[in-house]
Amino acid sequence: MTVPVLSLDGILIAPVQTELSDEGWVRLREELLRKVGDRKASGAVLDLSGLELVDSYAGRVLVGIAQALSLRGAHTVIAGLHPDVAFTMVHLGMDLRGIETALDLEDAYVRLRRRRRQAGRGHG
Amino acid sequence: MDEHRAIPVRAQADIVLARQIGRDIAKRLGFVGSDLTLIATAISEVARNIVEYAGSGEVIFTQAVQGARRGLTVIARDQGPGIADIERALQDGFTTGAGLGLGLPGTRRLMHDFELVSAPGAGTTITMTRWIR
Repeated sequence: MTVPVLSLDGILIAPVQTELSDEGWVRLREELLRKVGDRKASGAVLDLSGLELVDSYAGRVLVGIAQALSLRGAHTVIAGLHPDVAFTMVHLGMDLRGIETALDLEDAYVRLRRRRRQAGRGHG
Repeated sequence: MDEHRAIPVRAQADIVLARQIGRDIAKRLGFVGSDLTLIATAISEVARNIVEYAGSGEVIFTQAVQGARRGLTVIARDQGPGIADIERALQDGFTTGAGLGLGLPGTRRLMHDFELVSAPGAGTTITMTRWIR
């Protein structure tokens, strides 16, 4: 299962709609890193509303993606975590190293657009 | 209800399978809501450890009964290298960073009962139970 990475006005959107295999996560990370350059993106939304669970492995992968994207000048926002998933992640003691989160894709996108405008890139 | 299943775990795909089967069994036993996610996540954690540290092992599901209490017992067993410093392995810390990286303190928090038996060269067996509230 491959996650399509969409690009909307300098912001990448990755809708993760099913559980990803290890290879799937690697492919997603590679695609995001590549597209930051292709589209000169300043932000990326990882919409995780399709995930039934986020275990510590997935947490490490997400931290790695955000850090790598940051090295390429892009800010990551994770969105769409299911309430049970959010509760479990807290219970597990997962440390997402300060990755920004938003309730849903729209909220995340709006925040990244605002951030992009404030940085003087793009025009509204 | 006779819910006893053993799932061999040796590759990443088995982790996903084990947690899906575990979630299904938990649901049939009467668990609902966030309990299902807690259980599936705990299974994912121990199954991942089997794949990454032991190479292969198994995850066994059985119904837990204690008086009027009903629950699910998950046993994760392998013949891998074993854990030399169990105390350190169970020491609290962040799951995505320092420590032994086994995520055991976190996993223990997801379940009600948790027991770890391990020794270098003797493999590891984790027995954990969550009760229906």
